[in-house]
Amino acid sequence: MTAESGELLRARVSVDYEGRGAVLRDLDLRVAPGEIVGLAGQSGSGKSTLALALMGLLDPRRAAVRGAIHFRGRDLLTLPEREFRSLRGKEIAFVLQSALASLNPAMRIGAQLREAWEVHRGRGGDWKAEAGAALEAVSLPRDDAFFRRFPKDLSVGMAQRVLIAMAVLHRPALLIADEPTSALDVITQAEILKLFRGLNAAYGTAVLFITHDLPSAASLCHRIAVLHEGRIVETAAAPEIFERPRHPYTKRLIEALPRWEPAPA
Amino acid sequence: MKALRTAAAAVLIGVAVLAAGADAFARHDYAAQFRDHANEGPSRRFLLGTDDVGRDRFSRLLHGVRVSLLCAPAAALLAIAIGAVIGLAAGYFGGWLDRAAGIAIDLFLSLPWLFALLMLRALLPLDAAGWISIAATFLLLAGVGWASGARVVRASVAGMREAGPILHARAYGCGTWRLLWFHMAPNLRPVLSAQFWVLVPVFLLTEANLGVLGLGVTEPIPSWGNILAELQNYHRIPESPWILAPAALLVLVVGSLHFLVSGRGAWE
Repeated sequence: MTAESGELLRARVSVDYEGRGAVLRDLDLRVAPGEIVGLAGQSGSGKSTLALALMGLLDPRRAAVRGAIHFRGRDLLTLPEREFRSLRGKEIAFVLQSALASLNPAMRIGAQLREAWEVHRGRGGDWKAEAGAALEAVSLPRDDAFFRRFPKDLSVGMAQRVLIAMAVLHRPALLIADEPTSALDVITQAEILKLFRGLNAAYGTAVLFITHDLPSAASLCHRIAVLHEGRIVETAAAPEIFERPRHPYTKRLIEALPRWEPAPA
Repeated sequence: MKALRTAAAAVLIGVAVLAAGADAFARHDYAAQFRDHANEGPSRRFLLGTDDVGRDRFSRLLHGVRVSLLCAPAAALLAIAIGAVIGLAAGYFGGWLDRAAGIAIDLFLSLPWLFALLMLRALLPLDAAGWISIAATFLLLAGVGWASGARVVRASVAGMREAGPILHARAYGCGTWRLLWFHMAPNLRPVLSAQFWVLVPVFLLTEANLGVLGLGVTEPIPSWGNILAELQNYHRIPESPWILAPAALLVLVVGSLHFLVSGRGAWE
């Protein structure tokens, strides 16, 4: 099984949790370079498990991952941890669901950005200039006062932007975002989606956008894969999913969306 | 409660100053024998009287307290350092390491401390040079006392493994050592400091118990324990109650430590 040309990521995986049985079953997912792929599914469908499996962050004591995850032609599942670590954050970046709970509460924003830079580039480079550029890309201030802030001094939206800035610090080829907008109000949500679109256009970063929110996925993604009970039941271009849903589960998802029809006078 | 804590802090500071300045406050060398004045009561010359061989009790008490007050915290530091390393490794790496650490922790926690220490101490020469006996005594204390700290650390690290900041740090490429040292260890500080303050009084008392049994620090160097050994001549207490002074001071110091530690929760 080798990756076809034009593929950045090709994952065919099953994941079993100890005591809970199969969470992902022969899931097959592809992401092309520069593509934005949405992975939609309800809570408990295995979305976060997939994200953690792709990042190699599942606890091997509790979860067994089988199959293959080809990233740029290399199988991540057989990659030694040392080499996998050098990819994490540099070539594959991850934005976690809860931004405020992901930043280390005891570290200043500057220190965290600096660490994210130095674990891959060492102390040689100018971390401050790079971190500043990343903050600018997510529309955050890049002054020293901001670097000195602690996570508790940030709003949820700002924290989410910091997380995204950290993720794009090394201009990764793939960005995996696990429900990055689910804790945000609709206006901030729209800003973050715009941000992903902009980063995708500016850096050519492919994005795997994991969400339970089909309309957000549709507004951002080129393709959408629908995850149901650990399997991808349907993959199609964003408009097509809405116009011609094929799988019964996709139909139910779309029918469940709230509609705004003017109330009869 | 605040007044009580202030008093406890004052007692500890006072005792620490007396012990630190033992050479200045005590007029006689702790080992000097005034045979003509053996078994004397308190006087201006000998504030707490003299022992069987005419040594100044006051000087021996101050020097003995100094040894204990230096060594008990040092042993407690060593114990929590051992506990932190074992707990971190077990909680983070899991697997056989965790199982082995779990067994060792259970074993050490179920040891009858005093008897274990007696046996270990008995293996060492009884006539070991003074400073070696001090080091041996407190190293043994640390060697036995690390287990409770290791258990707490192991549990907190196992819980932290899945926490957001740890997952995030791994996701941006932090390696194991950086993760353990910069992201996990700082979170253990409150747990470790609580352990430290629990262990110090325990170690003071354990050293005293060993000393009474003649197995702690060896003569002529005084320690809280081997000074208390004098109390084995309990029939002399009614006629010379001042020989109870070391025991009273031990109760005062350990009690003050407990007051301060239990008050700490209210400050934080």
